[in-house]
Amino acid sequence: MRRLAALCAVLALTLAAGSGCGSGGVRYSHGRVEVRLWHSMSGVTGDALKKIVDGFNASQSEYTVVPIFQGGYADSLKKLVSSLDTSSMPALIQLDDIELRFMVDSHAIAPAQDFVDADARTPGSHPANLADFEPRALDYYTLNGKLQAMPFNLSGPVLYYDRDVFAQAGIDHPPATLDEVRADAQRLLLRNPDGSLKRNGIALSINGWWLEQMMAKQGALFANNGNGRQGLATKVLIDSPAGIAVLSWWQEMVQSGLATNVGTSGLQSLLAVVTGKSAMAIESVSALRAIVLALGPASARLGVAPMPAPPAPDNSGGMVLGGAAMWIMKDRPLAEQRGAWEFLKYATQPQVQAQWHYDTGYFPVRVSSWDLEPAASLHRQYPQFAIAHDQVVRSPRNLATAGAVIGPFTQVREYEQTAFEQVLVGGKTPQQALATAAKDADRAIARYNRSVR
Amino acid sequence: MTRRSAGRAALRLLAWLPVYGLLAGSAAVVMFPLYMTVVDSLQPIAKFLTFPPDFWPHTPVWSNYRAAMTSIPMPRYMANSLIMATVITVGEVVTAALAAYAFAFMRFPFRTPLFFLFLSTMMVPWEISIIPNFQTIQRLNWLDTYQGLTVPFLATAFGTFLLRQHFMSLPRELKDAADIDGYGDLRFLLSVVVPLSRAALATLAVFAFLQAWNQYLWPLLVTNDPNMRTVQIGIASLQSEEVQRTNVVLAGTIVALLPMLVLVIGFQRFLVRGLTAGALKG
Amino acid sequence: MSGEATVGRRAGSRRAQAIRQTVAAAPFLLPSLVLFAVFVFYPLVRSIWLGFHATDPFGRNEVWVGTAQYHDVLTSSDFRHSLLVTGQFALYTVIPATAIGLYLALLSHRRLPGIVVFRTIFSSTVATSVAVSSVVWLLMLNPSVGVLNYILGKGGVPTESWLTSPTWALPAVAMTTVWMNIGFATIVILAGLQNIPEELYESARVDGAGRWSEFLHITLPGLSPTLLFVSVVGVIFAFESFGQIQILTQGGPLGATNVIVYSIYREAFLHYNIGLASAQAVVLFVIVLLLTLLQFGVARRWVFYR
Repeated sequence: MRRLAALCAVLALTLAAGSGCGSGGVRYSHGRVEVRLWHSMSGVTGDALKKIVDGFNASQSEYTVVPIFQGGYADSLKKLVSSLDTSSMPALIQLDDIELRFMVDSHAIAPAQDFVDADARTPGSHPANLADFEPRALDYYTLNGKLQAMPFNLSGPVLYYDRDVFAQAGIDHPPATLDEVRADAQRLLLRNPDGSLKRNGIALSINGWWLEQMMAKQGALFANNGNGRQGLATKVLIDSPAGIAVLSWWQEMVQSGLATNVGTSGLQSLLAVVTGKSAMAIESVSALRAIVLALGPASARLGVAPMPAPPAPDNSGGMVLGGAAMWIMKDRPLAEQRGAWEFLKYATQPQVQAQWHYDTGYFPVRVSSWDLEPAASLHRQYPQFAIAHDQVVRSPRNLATAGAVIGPFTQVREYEQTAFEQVLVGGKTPQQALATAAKDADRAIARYNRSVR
Repeated sequence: MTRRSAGRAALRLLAWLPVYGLLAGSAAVVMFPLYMTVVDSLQPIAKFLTFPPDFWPHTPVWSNYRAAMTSIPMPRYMANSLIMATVITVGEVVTAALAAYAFAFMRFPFRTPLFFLFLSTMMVPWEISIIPNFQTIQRLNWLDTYQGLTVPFLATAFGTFLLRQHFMSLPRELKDAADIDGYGDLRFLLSVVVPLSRAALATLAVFAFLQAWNQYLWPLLVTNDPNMRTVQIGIASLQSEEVQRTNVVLAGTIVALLPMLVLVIGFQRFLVRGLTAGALKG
Repeated sequence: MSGEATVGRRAGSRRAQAIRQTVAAAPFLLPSLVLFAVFVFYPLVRSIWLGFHATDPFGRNEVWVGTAQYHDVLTSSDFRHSLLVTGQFALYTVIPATAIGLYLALLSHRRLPGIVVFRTIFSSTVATSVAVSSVVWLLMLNPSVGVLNYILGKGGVPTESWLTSPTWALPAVAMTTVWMNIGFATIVILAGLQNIPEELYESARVDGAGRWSEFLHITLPGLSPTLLFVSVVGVIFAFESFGQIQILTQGGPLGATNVIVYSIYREAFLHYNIGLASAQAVVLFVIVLLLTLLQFGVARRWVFYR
């Protein structure tokens, strides 16, 4: 009996050891207000974020920002939703662009605009100079007339290509349209003596983001009601000619062997270029820094160009500059929210952003960062980074390039992805696959819109 | 004569040669994935950008291991996994032994229906309990706590069934003798039944420990604080955190694997013996 | 005990005895019963209830939607596909793991110098967890730099993008699971082999039985409870498999690896449709229940009347 009681006591003690915190009050560490930041920056970009956080923590004595890696954006969001109304919620969270509508509907966030306005009313504060922010990024994160989140890491897809292989084939500039990609790919194919393919034209991964970006580049809307910016979006427009054009090209390229489908995992397409199995790839610009670091001097042969897309009528198309942004959670105590805002102002200073751009390859959110060191010298050493920038500034500002705002966007992306797979390995036509995806997406949007009302 | 027997021994060994060949071949296949992981965990990152792959680390980069250890707090994750698995194991063995004893040795109303009620929990697929259990833990504010990680798993119908079968195989006379000696139920359980059932209890414990140690979805759901993550979540997190440094991910994986490997190698004979002692019969 | 008890008193003492027995048994049963009530039976009821309600993604604005979500699940081809995939996954993992475990156990169930080393190697994968084995195989299966395609290429076998092919993704995920499970299977079957009395083999040898007949008539019947145990545990593992799916394929491509746990997880924690996810879980429960009752009926005929 006594032995059992002792066992129970041990059990109870072990369990109790884990239940330290519990209240929702201000978190302190070493006398400073602790601001927890959930982020999804991994590897090289994670180190760069750590550098910014360390810089902020050393620059003042009131707040300590604690960065916590929570996996991908979807993992992080899942944890946020499950921790609403509990004490494990962070004060600051980094989420990807497509969660805009979802986060606003959560009623759990404090819009960045509120802090901008409060700074303007407070004499002696150092307000954020929004005039120097990349206007396309501000466009993206503005909803209901308010800047909802602070843009932080801006990215976009680019074309990576093997310059040596291009030179050998006598091609002097990278392709700008999908037709040019096809024509170049034909010249870049390399066969083994036994006739099998040694190198294909382009490695293509499956990602709804490519479809969204290629539609914007054609100046086409992705969702109705002005991409959901003039009213609640109720329908996606992926089965439009702009969407079908993209998927038709995709199907033709893969089925003819000019392209290889590397599936849904990121970076595989870039790996194919680096290992010489493909001549080109489409991938996010955020992979550039890591690949340059890994390759060292050999990275000179890796060229970067704007993402090719079907041409837009009268230059109405361009890139959607989303990337990811930082959100302040309104249920954390005010002191933590203020600390979060101070951190965001620090993290988006031109100098900090120039370093961030240098360290990661993400576009800086400040226009003036481009001319500051070390960004400027990076562009001299690796012109690839500067080329990527060109497609940003050449993009017009309109509803198409502002990007779509949809509540269940993650789910919509899954349907886009399914459409890709249906076309590439499921034997469907682009029209059929996109029509199905649109129907599924519309149903998910309707369910979502009904539930948040 | 000695020469002849030596010759016979050599001949016998020669006869066994094909068996050794099969053994070695099978061992190589089984170990190959782990071998490649060790090799790749020592490669410089540039090696992952070249094809064909290398089967030997020509210039081992030991700093990958340091990077893995500094990238995530591995010792902390190990400790969390160890605490979680130990609590679940102890809890399961205790609750199962108690319940199994009642079903095997005690008389009380509704004994058979209650036993079937226990068994019926095995029919409730684990999937159905994920969402409500998560909500329960959330409402108790048990996210990021050891009780959130362990309490839902402290009872086991499977273990109860296993132990009851074993207890029933013990001679009834033991119980009668204990009654005459005036042993209470708990004393009889602790001083007679448990010592006679060490093997069955050990089997249940090993099984429970392995299953708890390998838990993935539940710790993923109920831990947000990095200090509460388990090794399994740590590896997955390392995998996405160091996506561009595969070698570091693999180094972390090896580090996470080592303690369990040592445990299995050390207890290999014991594992088999524990199962041999009749735990699975009945 | 008492000599001349009236009928009424006897009934009373019986009731008293029942109470005494219940009080004595309660401390033994309550720990399990309370835990089952909170973490098994309540969730069952709660899931059924959740299936009748829809909420916003944040778990608020709960509204009664009747059987709409159950109807959605029952008519969804994706859900049927998930059930099929789960069944296939169980098949692809349980049979190979049991067979390989049997082979390795038989191979190392001998008295040979150094055999312990081989037994340890064969059972070593029991130490690998789902996360470890997924990370290990993720690199092996990589189509660009993976070693598997390299070896297959050398052998003249056509290479594959294992995890992105709708045909190969499920077998590839199953393969990592099998590798992870053979250690456990080998250990259990080795134990089972050691439980078979040596005398049976000796008398068979006296009767001049061949090795094959020995295997068929002694080893296999002797192992049958062990093999049943290994496969039952394997099926339970298969139905709970989540980590390898999450790390290797996220249910894709085209739902080829979208096992039921992953499907429920995705609906609940990525799409935030708790109601729909609960309805899926309840339908799964009913299916498992029917299958179990069916099996029970069959088993009763087999076992009880023999």
